Amino acid sequence: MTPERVAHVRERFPRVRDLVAEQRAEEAKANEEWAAKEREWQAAADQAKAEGKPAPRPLRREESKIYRHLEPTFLVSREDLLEVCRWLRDTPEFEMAYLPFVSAIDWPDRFDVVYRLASLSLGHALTLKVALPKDDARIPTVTELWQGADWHEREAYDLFGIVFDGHPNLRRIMMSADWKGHPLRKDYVYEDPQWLVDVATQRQREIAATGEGWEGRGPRA
Amino acid sequence: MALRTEELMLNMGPQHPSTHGVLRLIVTLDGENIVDVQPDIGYLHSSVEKMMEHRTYVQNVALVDRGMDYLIALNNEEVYCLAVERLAGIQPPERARYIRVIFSELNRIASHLVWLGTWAIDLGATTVFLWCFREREMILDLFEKVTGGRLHHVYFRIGGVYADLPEGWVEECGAFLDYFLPRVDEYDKLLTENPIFLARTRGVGKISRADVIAMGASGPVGRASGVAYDVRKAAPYEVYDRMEFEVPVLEEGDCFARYLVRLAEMRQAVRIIRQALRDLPGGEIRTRVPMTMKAPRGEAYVHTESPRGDLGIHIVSDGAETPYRVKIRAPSFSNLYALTEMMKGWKVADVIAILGSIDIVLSDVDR
Repeated sequence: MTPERVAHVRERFPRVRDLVAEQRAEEAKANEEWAAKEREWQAAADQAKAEGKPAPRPLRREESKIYRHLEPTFLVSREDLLEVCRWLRDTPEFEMAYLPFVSAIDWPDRFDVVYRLASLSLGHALTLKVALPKDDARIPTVTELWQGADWHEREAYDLFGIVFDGHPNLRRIMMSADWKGHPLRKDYVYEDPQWLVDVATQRQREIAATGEGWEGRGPRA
Repeated sequence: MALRTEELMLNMGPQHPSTHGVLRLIVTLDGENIVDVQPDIGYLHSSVEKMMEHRTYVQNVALVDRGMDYLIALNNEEVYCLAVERLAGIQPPERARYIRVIFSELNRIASHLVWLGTWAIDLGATTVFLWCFREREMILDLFEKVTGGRLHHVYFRIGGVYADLPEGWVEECGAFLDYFLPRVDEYDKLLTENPIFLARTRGVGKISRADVIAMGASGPVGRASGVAYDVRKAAPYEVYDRMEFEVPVLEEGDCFARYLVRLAEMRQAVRIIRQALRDLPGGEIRTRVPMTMKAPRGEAYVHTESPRGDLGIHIVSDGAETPYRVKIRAPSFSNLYALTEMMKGWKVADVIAILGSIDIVLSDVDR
């Protein structure tokens, strides 16, 4: 992604947030603050030296807490998602005909749905993110733009419980149809599914019927 | 009297040797003709992404070996290590990067050999299977001498590789390549002009370039349909930008083209390994990272060209010792999705030929 292309996206969609630019701005601000602190310390040290006092304690910079995006990443609202996607796919400058994956991240306060888009002919790629509130995890499907999103969206539905509105076949894909809960959510607690419990109780009954439990078998060899 | 006909639903799998794992295909048939195929997946789902959230960055190297595609453990380790290294800003030494290229290309050959052998046996050619596994065994022996493992190695580590190559290994590997290249010609002779093989593969299971891209399929499946996309060329990682090799691309999009692409890829892999062995620099093999390393807050996506296609890892860190979220972009998952399109209009006897030709591994599909 060249800076011109990034600028073009922001020009076309002013509401889309460039997370990499925001992160750089934050980092620049943190660096400035740090530089100011260092200057202050230097001044104090110089003064102490002049007065013949011991130097003040050296500063230690704490590890940065800024969230870093190492790929070009844009934050899109769910209302704009389809329009942005269609534009990125159909504009010759971007030509993002290839959708490697759709996925989600479960944050304490929100879901992030992640779309990775790439162009096979131009060789660039970017990440789109959509933040969804926890109590309303619905988002329009992109299957009409990229057919291959079908299974990826089903997977995100299955494992995160995100509902893709307009999806032609939104069923569980990894877990069995009667599974309760969405395993990749952070608050998910595993419970034995009913059919597994049935198999276990059936087996216990069989063992009881033969009259030999674990006790009857004597010490293990 | 009019004959009444109706469509037949045929259930293939989940236990069927030629599904190469536990895959269920729900095939709708009109007589012998396939009307629709719906793959039903998830039988091998181990939720490795969830497990990785509960293990440290260093421990996860052992997990990607088996939780992802079990035939290409080294390629999995490579993409995982690259992703963590990118996230944490770690630079592995030059020698380690060459060693990784050598091993992931050897693993590519080994994986293609398994594919060729099992697919040929699906089509009734037993000899190819025996020959392929004979050569694969030699590659596994080469692995064992360095990593101690044959399938699951835990050899690539964050910041480099675990151990240096033992004395004489480079020569041994070179000798294997000299032995192996003429063997590829032998497979070629056995199959490429074999009329039975041609009848079962040429023109069968076609998929167009536009469909491949729309469905997100990649790797040899894409390149057999004219998609000239190889991550090693498009976004070079490790030291692939210094290697000279060609990306075989064909236009036909049928089973036969997929076979030819993989055959050519084995030859190109030999070429890459030879260059890497020749240029292998000395020096360190590993940048030290603490056992309980922490990655700074943020996220990264790294993708590589695995034997099955575009294999990526999207890794998210919240600054702790374990990743907050790992998404594995598995090539087989998208390639299998394209199966429905390939199967339409073919006969029920072609199901196995077409399914085998996309080279899926179910632990890669289900994860």
